[in-house]
Amino acid sequence: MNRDVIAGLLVLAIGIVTLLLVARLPADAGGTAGAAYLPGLIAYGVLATGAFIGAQGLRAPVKMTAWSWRPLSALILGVLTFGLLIEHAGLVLASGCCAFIGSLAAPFPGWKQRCATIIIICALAVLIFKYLLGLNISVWPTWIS
Amino acid sequence: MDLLNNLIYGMSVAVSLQNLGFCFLGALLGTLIGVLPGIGPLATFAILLPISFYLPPVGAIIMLAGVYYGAQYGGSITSILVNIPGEASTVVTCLDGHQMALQGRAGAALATAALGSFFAGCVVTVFIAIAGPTLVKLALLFGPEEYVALLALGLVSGVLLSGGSIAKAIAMVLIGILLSLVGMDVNSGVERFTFGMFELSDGLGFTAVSIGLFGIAEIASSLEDTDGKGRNIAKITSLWPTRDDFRRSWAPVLRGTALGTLLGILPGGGGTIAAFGAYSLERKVSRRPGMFGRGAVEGVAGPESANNAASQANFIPMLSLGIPPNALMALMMGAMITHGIAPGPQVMIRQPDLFWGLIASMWIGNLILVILNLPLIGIWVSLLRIKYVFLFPGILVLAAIGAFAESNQVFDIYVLTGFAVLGYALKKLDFPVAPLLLGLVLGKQLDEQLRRALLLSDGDWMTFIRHPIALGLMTFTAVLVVLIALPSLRRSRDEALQGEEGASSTASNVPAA
Repeated sequence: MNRDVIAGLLVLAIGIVTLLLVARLPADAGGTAGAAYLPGLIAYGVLATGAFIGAQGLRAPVKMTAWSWRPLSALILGVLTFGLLIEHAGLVLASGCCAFIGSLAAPFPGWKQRCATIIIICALAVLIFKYLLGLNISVWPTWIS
Repeated sequence: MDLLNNLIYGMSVAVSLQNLGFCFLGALLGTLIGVLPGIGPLATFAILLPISFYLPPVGAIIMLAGVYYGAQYGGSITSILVNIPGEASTVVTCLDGHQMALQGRAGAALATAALGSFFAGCVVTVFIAIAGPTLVKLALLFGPEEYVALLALGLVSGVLLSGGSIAKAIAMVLIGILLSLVGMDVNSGVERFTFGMFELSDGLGFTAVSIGLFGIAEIASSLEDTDGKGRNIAKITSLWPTRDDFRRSWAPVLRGTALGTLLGILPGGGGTIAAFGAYSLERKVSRRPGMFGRGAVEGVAGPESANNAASQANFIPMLSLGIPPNALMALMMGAMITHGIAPGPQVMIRQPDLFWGLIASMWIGNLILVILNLPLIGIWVSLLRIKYVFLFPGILVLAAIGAFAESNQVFDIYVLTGFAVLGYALKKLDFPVAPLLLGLVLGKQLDEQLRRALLLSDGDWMTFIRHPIALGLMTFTAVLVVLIALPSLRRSRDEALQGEEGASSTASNVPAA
């Protein structure tokens, strides 16, 4: 996989999407002082740099380093779970699940340590955000309290 | 006398018990960040932003400032003791600082770093108090044309001074500007790039974007780079530098402070460039250049003073002109905007308590840091032994709560995850991410001022040439572009900035288990 060709294509794609979106802005947004002026201008700049980066990649190919999916997906899933739970299941469950799923990103020394880490994190989250900063989040699930 | 009055006024704000507490907390957190492995100042700063929204504005900014310069101190501790720069700007400190530590002089190196930084901090505090108001007076004369020119200068230098490919940096800045334009356009009421989602009509959540780009992506690559290497932590015996150390250090400290201040004011300049500059300057003027890299105290004193001077001088363009010279200052500016403070010349006039309080708190913060770092060094050394696996789940939860707490919207968490994936991809594709942040912070302003200027001139771009200050700034920008394009200067830029990348890869090189 040629790193810079992919980089150039990514930038080109962003430029094209921007141009399409700019074209869909209302007609009175045109003109030098309109809402579409700067984004349109920049979209062309993005296209030009994207093409340049891609061309450089073709001239001097560099291989992209491999993605390691385990850390990234564990972290992302952890945060998403937090988002799903926080409104109704409360801070403790949301942070606990987030910390647990996130912790799968790396091999832990053992289950005891993993559990202890998660419990400490939940306690600190409640202490800091609920009691010290006074956030308006429920600590326990709304169906309990 | 005005200066003295203002400083006394600032001191009265800064020594209030509450602000003193925030200053201490900031310095403490900053040092902690600098010392703890696997998480750099940008990432932590992004994660701490939402917490600051629950504090009073002056206190919040004082705390964040403390985190900012505290991280510099913390970074030098790890550089000296374990040869891992906690921060890009302390990469050069590794060279001689760690050598001194290996020779059993870790204490002397730490003390030289702390005292040199303290001296630089004191000088720059006074310098900000003098230079800030002068720049503010100038900035008050600015119309939209001058602002556009200034923003262009800020963006261009952000591109030129970020490491790696310039084309990629340009792409990042442009994409950052585009992202800043998401939401309702205040002039026409047109919604741009919102895909019809009402959550986006206010724009992308700044915190969610920066936590995603820096926080999560950084944890992921830190975990990836772990190779289970143990750490050799140097023992600290005596904390006091010898008389010979003092004799050798005072001149480098003075030179480093001067160089750092100068480089810190320039847009795009910052601690890293200043530290590298100071190191090569010291090696050039030294009568024993052969000692450098083998534990020369000058190689610690000069760069450490320079990076602290520069990172504090960075506040000058941000506070007086509203142009952040680097990504950390851009985050700081984002924090101020979220607090309803518009950074720029108006801050000093409308919120003198914030402006002068912040300046005075920097001096206090530096004093706190000397106390935190010298007598309490033992605590930091024990923290250095914490394994990253125990830390990152906590950092992750902090990031999630932070993104959510900014506006109590689950939508922001989805934004966060989206930008986390993007941030990781950008890292893999070798894009520098800092310019994107600069574009994100400055883009909206650029849009408004550019359109205002073009409206006044009926769409005539020549208007920028007809305004002398704008023309001057544009010329300066152009000169900067040409200078950097020259091959010889380009090489030294690449050399100096290589440290920046080297630092992020070494900093993430932490044992996981």
